[in-house]
Amino acid sequence: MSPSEKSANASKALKEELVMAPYGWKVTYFPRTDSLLFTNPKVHISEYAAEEEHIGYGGVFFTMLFNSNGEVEIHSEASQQAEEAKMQKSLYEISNTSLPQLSFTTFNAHLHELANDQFQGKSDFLFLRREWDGSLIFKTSRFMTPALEYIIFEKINYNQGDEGHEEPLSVADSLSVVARDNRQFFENMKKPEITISQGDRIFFRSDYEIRDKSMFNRHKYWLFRFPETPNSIPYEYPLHMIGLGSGYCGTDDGIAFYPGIRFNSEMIFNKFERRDNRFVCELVRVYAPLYRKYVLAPRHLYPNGELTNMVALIEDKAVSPTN
Amino acid sequence: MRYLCYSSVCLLYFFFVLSACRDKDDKLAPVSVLDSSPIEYQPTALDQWIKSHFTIPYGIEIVYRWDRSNIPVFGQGYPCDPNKVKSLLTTLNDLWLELYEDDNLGGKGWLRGKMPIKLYLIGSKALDRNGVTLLAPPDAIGDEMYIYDVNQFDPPDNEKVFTLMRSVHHQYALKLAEITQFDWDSFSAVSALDYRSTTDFMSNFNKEGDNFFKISPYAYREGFYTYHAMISFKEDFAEIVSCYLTHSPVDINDAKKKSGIAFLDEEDDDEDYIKEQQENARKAFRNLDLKDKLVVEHFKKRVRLSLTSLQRISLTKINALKKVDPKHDTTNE
Repeated sequence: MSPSEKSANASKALKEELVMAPYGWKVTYFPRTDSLLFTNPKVHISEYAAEEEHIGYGGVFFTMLFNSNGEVEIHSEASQQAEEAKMQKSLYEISNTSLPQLSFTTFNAHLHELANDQFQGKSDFLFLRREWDGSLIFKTSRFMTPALEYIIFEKINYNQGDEGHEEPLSVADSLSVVARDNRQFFENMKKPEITISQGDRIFFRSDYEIRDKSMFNRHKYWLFRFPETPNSIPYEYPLHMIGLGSGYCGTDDGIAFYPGIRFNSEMIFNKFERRDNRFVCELVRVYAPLYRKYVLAPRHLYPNGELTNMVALIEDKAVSPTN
Repeated sequence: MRYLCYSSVCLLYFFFVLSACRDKDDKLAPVSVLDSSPIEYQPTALDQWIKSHFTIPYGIEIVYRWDRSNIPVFGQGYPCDPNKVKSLLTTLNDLWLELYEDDNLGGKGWLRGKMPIKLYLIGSKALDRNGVTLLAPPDAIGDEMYIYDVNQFDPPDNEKVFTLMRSVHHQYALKLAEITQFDWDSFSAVSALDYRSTTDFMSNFNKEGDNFFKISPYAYREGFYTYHAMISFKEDFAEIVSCYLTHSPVDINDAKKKSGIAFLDEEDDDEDYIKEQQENARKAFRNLDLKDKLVVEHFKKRVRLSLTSLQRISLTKINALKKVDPKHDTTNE
């Protein structure tokens, strides 16, 4: 088979895969991330370092339903009002460049909301590879190095169960509604704090209230901070402040952070599950045949994984615990 | 004899190589190497409408689907909203295509052979690195035209229509100059030392909103009609044509007249400074008037259309469009 035939076949295969998902795809798009920003829990974070021009950006959770006519229906969790969250239909194309390229060729209010100077979203996604968990990983032509953007497509596996047949569009819509609720719940927390532990040992616990969260909500970025050496002057910024931060978006399970809350090279917490009023990410060890090694994954997605007791828990410390 | 043997061996060798290459089982690949994955999509109702109203009568392809490789994008570009395309193209038809093919001007069929090949529609603005809104990509060739900010287009909004037509007339003027062989040497020599080459100086003026594209006192005091005209001689030419077709004769003449008046404050009493300003004003008027005449003359002789007639009919059409929705007239707001 010639290289051009291989390339054509790869594009066709991608289109078929996108179209053949009966309930569509969950798409997590973080156009602009920095995997080195606020990822060292030992480094002091100055008051200046946490100002608007220095913090990072988060992303958006979409559900996308592709059809063979070149149309895609998109829901988004980013909108604040239900009216804005209505399904937006637009056109897509899959073409050959160096890699199969998925292009959103007409304006879609949900997707192109990220095409601005802050988030710097793009309309063309290059298909990189299939991940060990079956998700499809894309990139844009903007960056050559990894971990500066995240574009992840996961097939929606809807279990019809006893409720009968659900229309794909309503499934996609309901997932985005749940994702929006989860994100808004997180953003409405008065004092969201994180605790990273393994068994009884606590590695990191944040404890710093931010009065005006609007800047962080606009960026969809959160910074968990802990005043390691408080300032003797009341209400002044601590002398030594540490923290961990990451961009976030709501998901149908809870909250997703990319590049993740990174305590160290092993303890990276991406997908949090919402349990009542908290968000929990417990890591388990799972064998990834594609890489022929064990990787860490969230327990709520891999309940049969080997326990590691590595847990990150986000809760609102302004509210007294219910249990 | 030796020669005959040698040539026979060569011929045999040649046929041997040829037969080795030939394989009866080889067939042509089903997929073309040139176009290995043609993008096939179902033509929509919009595509059909565009074909019947633009592509077939005028020979121009309207590209509203995003094509990053062919569209000069400034900053964070995004595709156009298909819901805006028809109203925008209808406006273009009324104010641009029907203008040149008006019975009192070129007549039916005048545009045939004089149109660009493609017209790209882009949803986002054309903002360059200085944050300045451009009317067209600086290195665009005449065969392709670009309409930016399509997603904000709203026919009842006169300012949006004005900005759209400024861009279209600007780009089409360059196409006409190309096919009618405008005398660039004579034109470029007039204000040769006054062009800025960059848009740095415009970034503060961009905050004027849509007034940014109107005739500007800052510009005519330098011998130009608008800020964009000050970038290069090609932009200058295109801006003269574009201003004629979107401003009234009163505005044009007023700009020319005021360009010759020295800009002085009441406190200015330094005689040398006053003389210098007056000389600058004379030079500005001289340059503007000369360039104006070159363009008008070119339209008369080479394009074979009167620029002043084009102006009159263009403004008539623009005013007629305003009257269709008088309640949306924002010009006096």
